[in-house]
This record gives sequence, C-alpha cells and structure tokens, in this order.
Amino acid sequence: MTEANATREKCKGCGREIEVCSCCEEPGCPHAICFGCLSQELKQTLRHPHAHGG
Amino acid sequence: MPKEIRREEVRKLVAAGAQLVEVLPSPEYEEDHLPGAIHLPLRRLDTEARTILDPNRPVIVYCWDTT
Amino acid sequence: MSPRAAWRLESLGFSDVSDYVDGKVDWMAAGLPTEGTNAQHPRAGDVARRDVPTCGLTEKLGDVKARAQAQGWDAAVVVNDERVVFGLLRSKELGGDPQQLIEKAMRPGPSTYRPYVLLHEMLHTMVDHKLVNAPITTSDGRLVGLLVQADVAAALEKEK
Repeated sequence: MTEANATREKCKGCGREIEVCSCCEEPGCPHAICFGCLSQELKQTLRHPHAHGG
Repeated sequence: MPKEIRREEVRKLVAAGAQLVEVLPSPEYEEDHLPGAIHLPLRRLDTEARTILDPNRPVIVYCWDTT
Repeated sequence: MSPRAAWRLESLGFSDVSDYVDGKVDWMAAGLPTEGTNAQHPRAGDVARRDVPTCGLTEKLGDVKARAQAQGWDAAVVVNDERVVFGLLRSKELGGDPQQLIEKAMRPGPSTYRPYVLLHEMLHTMVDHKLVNAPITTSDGRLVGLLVQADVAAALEKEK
C-alpha cells in the first residue's frame, strides 16, 4: 500500500485527516485525535479559541 | 527593550525581590500560577499596572508558553 | 501575550522589565510547584512510577523482558544515557523474538505526557484510547516515570 492510498483517520478535535491516532497509534481508534488537539485537550498547550496572540 | 529570561533567572530575580506577574486571563490564573505571581491580565495592564505594581522594582511577566 | 505585556509596561514607565518567554508551561513541565485550584489535585507526575525498568537500544529483547519480569513489570521504557525516551515496550512488544534488538522491537517515538497533566484528564484519555500505561516526560524528553492506568484510577478514587 502506498502512502497515498493509506487509510486516513479523522481527528475528533479539528476534523483534519491524520494517519493514525496520536495518542494510542492504533488504526481504527474510535477517538482518533491529532497531536495538536491532544496537547490542547490535556492542557499541554493553551487553547486559542480567540486570537489572543503572543 | 524587555529582557527575555529563562526559568533559573526567574527564580533568582524573584528571590531578589522582583514582582512576578501573570498576564493570562482569569480561569488560567486561578487554576495554576507560579508561586507568588500577581494577576494582571493583559487587557487591564493599561489601567491597573501603575496601581498594582511598583515601578521602582523589577517586573517579570509571563503567560502560557512561547506560542 | 507576555511580550506585548513587557513592552507595554516599559512604555508605561517601568524601567526593569523581563519576559519569562517559556512561560507557565515550562515551569510546570520542569515539575516546579504552582499555586491555584489545580495545585491541590493530583497530577500525572505525582503518580507515575519512577521504578519502571529502562533499557538501551542495543540490548536484546529477551534480556530486557527477563529483567522487567523479575521486577514485576510487563513494560519497559527505552532511553539513552540522558534518560531521553526513544521508545516503549509494552507486553505486546515484550512478547516478540527474544533475540531481536530493542531498537527493532520497540514502539518508537511514543506519545508522552507532561508531569503537570491532571489525573482525571489522563484517566479520560487512557480509558478512551485503551492505554494501559503512558510515559511521563519533562519538556526536554527525559523520563519521569510510567503512568499506569490502574494507579490513576486508584489515586482518583482515593481523592473522592
């Protein structure tokens, strides 16, 4: 299977396509999530619902 | 121009009497802040900095991270 | 936010202003204490087991498995001399060919979590994703310990 044909998951947070859940790295995870959303979910980075800037 | 400092410098400056200020809004400050940090959200800086802080003492500001 | 605050304070007449650019995340990721409503709640770093077996890339899986089991573990964390995490061996990986080198057997670049993450948030994540354990590291990638889901549940139960 080429990379182009690899099954893609959808991040439950932002909806973007991801290769695999960044938390469990298991294909078909029902809670598949991208790295950025996982970090925000665990408050490892700050959510930016508004542009508070840096 | 404000100086950019790292964690160890923060500890030294605070020990020497610097005012430590968190500029994040309310829920973030209440949940976790550095020990002794004063809460002065960015949007209230203009109106409250001169009353809450001593302009004759060093000030260290911080928020969440570099982003 | 802090750069803007620092510059604004200077314009307001404050002559000695510093910006702790790495911020609260850096402070907490270093395991330093904080104040606030979260400070009283247990965090991942409080419960992570420091005595998790560790191993290097060039060891053999069979040797590591034997050592881990002798210590009562079915997991091990792959680290370098600086204790930076390279990989993870859960029971599935430990069950592989004993002659295989750790570098080939391990789960490389596992997701890691910061010591300051609240336990109830970790439990939610670990249950949703069926994580039996999860490595806890500092922001420079060094191993703090392995967080075990059962320990998290027990700690939260105790907190009630």
